[in-house]
Amino acid sequence: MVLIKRLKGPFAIFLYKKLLVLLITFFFSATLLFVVPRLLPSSPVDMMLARLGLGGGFSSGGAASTAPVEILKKIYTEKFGLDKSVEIQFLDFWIRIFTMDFGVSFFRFPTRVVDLIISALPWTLILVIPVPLAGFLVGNWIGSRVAFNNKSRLNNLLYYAALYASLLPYYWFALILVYAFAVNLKWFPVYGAYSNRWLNPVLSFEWFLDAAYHWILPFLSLIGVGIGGWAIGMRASIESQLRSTYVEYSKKIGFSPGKLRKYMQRNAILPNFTWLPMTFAYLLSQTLLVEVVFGYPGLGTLMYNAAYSSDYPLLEATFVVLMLIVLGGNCICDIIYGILDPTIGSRYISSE
Amino acid sequence: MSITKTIQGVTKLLLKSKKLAISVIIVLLFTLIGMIGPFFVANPLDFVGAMYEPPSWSRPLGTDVYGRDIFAQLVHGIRNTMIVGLIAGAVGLLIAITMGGFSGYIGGLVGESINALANIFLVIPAVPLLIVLSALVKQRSLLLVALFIALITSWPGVTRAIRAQVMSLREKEFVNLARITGKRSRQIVFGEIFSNMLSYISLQFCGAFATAILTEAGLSLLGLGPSSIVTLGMMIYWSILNETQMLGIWWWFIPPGLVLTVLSAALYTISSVVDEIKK
Repeated sequence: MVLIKRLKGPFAIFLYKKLLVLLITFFFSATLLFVVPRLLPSSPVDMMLARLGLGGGFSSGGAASTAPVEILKKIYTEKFGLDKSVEIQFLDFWIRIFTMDFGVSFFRFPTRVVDLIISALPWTLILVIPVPLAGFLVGNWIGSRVAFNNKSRLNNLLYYAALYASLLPYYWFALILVYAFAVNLKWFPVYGAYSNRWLNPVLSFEWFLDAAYHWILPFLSLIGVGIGGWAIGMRASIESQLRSTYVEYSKKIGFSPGKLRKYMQRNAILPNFTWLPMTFAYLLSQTLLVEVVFGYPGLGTLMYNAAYSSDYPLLEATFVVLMLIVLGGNCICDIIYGILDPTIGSRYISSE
Repeated sequence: MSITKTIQGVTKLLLKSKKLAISVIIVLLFTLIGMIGPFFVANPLDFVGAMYEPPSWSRPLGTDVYGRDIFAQLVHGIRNTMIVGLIAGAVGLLIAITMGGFSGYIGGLVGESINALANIFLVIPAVPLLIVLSALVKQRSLLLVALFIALITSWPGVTRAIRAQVMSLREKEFVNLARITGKRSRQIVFGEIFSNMLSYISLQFCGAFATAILTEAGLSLLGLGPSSIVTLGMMIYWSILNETQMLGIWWWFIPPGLVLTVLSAALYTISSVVDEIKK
């Protein structure tokens, strides 16, 4: 009931505006994906020719051998639709996005690009979704600890560890985890998302356990992303509350410190929540790289293979899907924020 | 502000904050290694020893799968990675100063659109876009990779920071004074406001520098960095290709990542000093 009421009120306006921003962002980033490659001196066609060892300009075979290259070039130009006018190409590009029909992959011919993406997507999502949640909990916990007691050595150590953990090159951290825990201690598997006893994912309890076991190290490599931001935000927020009159008043009328802490943490979490969507783009970038280190079969490994085998349609499609993930995440954050914060409607009106 | 006064101010700051002093020393040390180091080590692509020689006195970091000196790779890697970072950071900063300055000072629709553009770029995941662009170009120079990074990741965050700073300085007395004397807005932004923001901007530069270094490493990690040039990311890429983390050849994959971590952490620490000054 409450939700339905909010879908009409000022909260709805807040939401529609956010959605509009997300749509504009998507339109802009997709357009960027369309325009920038066309500004570069080389095109997907050159990429294809180079893939076949027929790099434009590098072959020195004379007229006889360049003729087939020209024919190939023409075929590929038509295949990519690059012979059409720019407006039509732009229209085609959007049709591709809306129908999610990016054609057939070169790298795994003749699998459709969409099918490759659909099979890789869950692996990226199970890394991308839990990481910010875990980071949110750990970061806020550390931030509030150090805010309540900044004399404690342990608290300060945790706090600075969190700050520097958010600056690590995660792909390198992943290598170290593999070396230490998978190779030396043999606690975890070294590679992949499930044992190669199974050729494909199957719905069995055993397989599920195995996949979870393979998931731990990639997850741990990424947990530092964003942790520092939350710790900083939580600390600042609680420290400013400690100076506020309401805390002093509550202390005077005899609130137990534990209860007061709980109130302060709850007050601090909401403003800190806005940091969550800010970390998405970075998290996704880092996840892709960590996947490559682990040979984890997600979108990152897919993109790596696509780049390696010059599979432009696959690259294009993966980028579009990644943008959709980021924007979807932002959208969910906005909605949760709106639901958590009862004042958002009134604040929205007062800001107008 | 005279130069001696600036130096005095900086020295005071360095003495006050141990963290800052250490970070500055680290960055200077790596800069020095990058500048003169390559003259003292061998060509990083020469085959000098056996395969996977562990570290020894003559070869501090051992050799790689082809018997090439890893220490030489590291020194050249530091140089090339820092060059990419410097170019990307500088170009990004230049864009950010222009965009942030105008957006903050002039405001209005232009200012808002510039801010919106920066916000959009902050939402786009940088690495995938860089992968798409780099995959299109077969021979990538150091400069090209640096420009890609500058245009995609280095400017948006800094633009917003500079915009916010300019907006708060815009209301200050001395700016009003300049306005009354009839200076044009361009003169006010670049003459009055930026001269007051110089320290802030240089701190922002350190942040952009660090981000660019890490982004370059991430791109090189996929084999999409500058072609046939040794960078720190490229070293990690080679070591992954040869599965050194599984073979236990730690002297190949640990040093480049360690340098990246220490260098970027030092740069971020310097750039975060701005918050401490405010306190």
